[in-house]
Amino acid sequence: MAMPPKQFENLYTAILLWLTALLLALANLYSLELWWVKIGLALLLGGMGLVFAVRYRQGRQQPPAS
Amino acid sequence: MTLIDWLLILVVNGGIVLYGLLIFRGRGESFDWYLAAKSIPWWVIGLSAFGTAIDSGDYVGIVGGSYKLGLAQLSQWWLGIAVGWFVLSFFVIVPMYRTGVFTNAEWLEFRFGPTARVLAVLINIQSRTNVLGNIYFSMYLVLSIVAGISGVWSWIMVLATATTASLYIIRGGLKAGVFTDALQSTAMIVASFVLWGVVWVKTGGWDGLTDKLAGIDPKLPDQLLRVGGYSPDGVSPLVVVLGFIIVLTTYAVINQYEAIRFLGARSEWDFKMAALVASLATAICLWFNVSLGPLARAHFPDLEIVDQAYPLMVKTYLPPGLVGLTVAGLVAAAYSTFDSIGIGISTLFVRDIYARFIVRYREDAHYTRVGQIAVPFIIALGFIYVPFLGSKGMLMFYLRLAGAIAVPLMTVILMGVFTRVHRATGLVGLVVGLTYGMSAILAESYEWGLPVWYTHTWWTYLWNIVLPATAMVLVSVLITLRRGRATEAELEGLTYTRQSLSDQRRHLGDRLKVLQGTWLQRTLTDVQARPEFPFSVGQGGPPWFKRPGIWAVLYLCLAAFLLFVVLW
Repeated sequence: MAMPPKQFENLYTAILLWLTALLLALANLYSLELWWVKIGLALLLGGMGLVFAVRYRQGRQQPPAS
Repeated sequence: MTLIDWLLILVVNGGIVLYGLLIFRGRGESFDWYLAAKSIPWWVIGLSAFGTAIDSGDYVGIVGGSYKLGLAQLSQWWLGIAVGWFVLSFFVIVPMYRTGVFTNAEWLEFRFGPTARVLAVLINIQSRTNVLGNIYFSMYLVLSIVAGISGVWSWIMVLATATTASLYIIRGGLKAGVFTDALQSTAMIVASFVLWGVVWVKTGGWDGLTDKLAGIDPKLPDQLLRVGGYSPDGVSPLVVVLGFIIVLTTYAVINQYEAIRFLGARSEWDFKMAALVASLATAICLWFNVSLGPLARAHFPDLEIVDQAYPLMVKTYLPPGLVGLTVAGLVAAAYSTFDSIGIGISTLFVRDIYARFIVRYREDAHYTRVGQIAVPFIIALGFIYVPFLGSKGMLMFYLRLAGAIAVPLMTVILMGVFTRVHRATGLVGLVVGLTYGMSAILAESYEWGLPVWYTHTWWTYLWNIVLPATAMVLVSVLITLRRGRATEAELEGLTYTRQSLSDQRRHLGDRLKVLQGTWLQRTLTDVQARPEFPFSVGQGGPPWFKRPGIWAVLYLCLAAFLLFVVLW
């Protein structure tokens, strides 16, 4: 069954935000200069991704509108 | 740049482009593709208007500009563009939205005749393809300086960005452009804040900046760190600030690619609130970008090409990861403007040239297809400007042309919306303004010996309001003496009125005989009317906190206080 567009948007945005957060955190492997800025931004983006993931999950649990 | 930086650029921008391609797909109807079926909410329009106004050329060009001009530039971004957005959304766009036109040039023909319509299209194309040239050049500078990529490869990557932006616009139309703009705007604000924060701390804040600038030249802090600090010979700071305010008021009022987002709103209330969102986002983001100019001057005082300031700071002060994030924001800014110019100018070309003068009676889907085909050609036109963007900086080149060419169009639009001047006066205003503007450029370039108050860039902003407006009033008075005043039938629905008139769409569609039976007439009469508010409202109107006018006045007072009292 195809995913509703809103559901797809939520999932897509969550993955995109998490991927960006992960890359920012991994950048510390190259240089620890301003590591706290990178980690701070990564946490912020990760948190935003979580919000979209929760929305996606809530959408899945709701029965489809008839 | 490291692999992680490249991955960040790819994930952020590739992700948004893919989002545009996957989520939005037009149904092939022109109303849907060009105007998003008038369905866009206020916050999306606001973020999109901001993302469209600030492109990567601005990121690089503004820092280059304020490297020389200092905080004087804040006046255009805090006040000029906000005044423009408020004038547009509270007044100019109102008759256009109610009458169902798709473009501001279309409205110009109803108000001032077909020549005004064609001139408006040409001015819009010149002005926006100039901006595209700025974006290409700025991206090239960033890629070659920050990433150390060879010239040819930098240009290939610029081309790839322009091409991918065309793809999602072709597929999804205005809606794809506006929603991706909102995402790109977020990336842009984050990028600005990160670079500014790092350089600000490394400089030692305001005191450190003042000391560093004074160490280079004792006059610099006074010149660069005050809004009233910049004044070339023969031009007072007030004229400079007035010019800065007019340049972006003009931008907001005349540009089809801004107007089209407001015309795509789901209600009149939405496009008014959108102006506030756009002004706030711009004020925040541009504080960072403008103040980066003096910061760059403190760190790199001897730059010959001032537009190198931004990429040099990215390269020098940001570690891996943050470089990628900042460049990702810059590329996002380019995308958001590519798509906006693509859809905006495509609408102008199709409705105001192609469907009006070339092919007039085809089916609806044909005009959507032509609009889609036009997008990549429009985006390619920007490359014409690249050879001219040299040592003076992109900003100065743009300011010179805008004062001469774009301001007369703004004056004519404002005269059309706010006054009852005769239909024939629009062409007079445009010809007077363009003639003066071009003569000022030629006089300065070829040193004709004319006074500064005639030729200088900043003076042209003032005179190109005064001269066209005066000419229009004089000619209108003469016509009135011969034929009487402009009639109600001529002006109905085309000037600003506070109260919504009866349905104007059919009235406008039937007004010009030349449109009978054309696609233009069909789309004008078939466009669905939209309400004044997207929510139910009692007899006394919405509560105070839902009134866009109150917020607009508050914003303008605060911006004026900061500019003319705190930072002057």
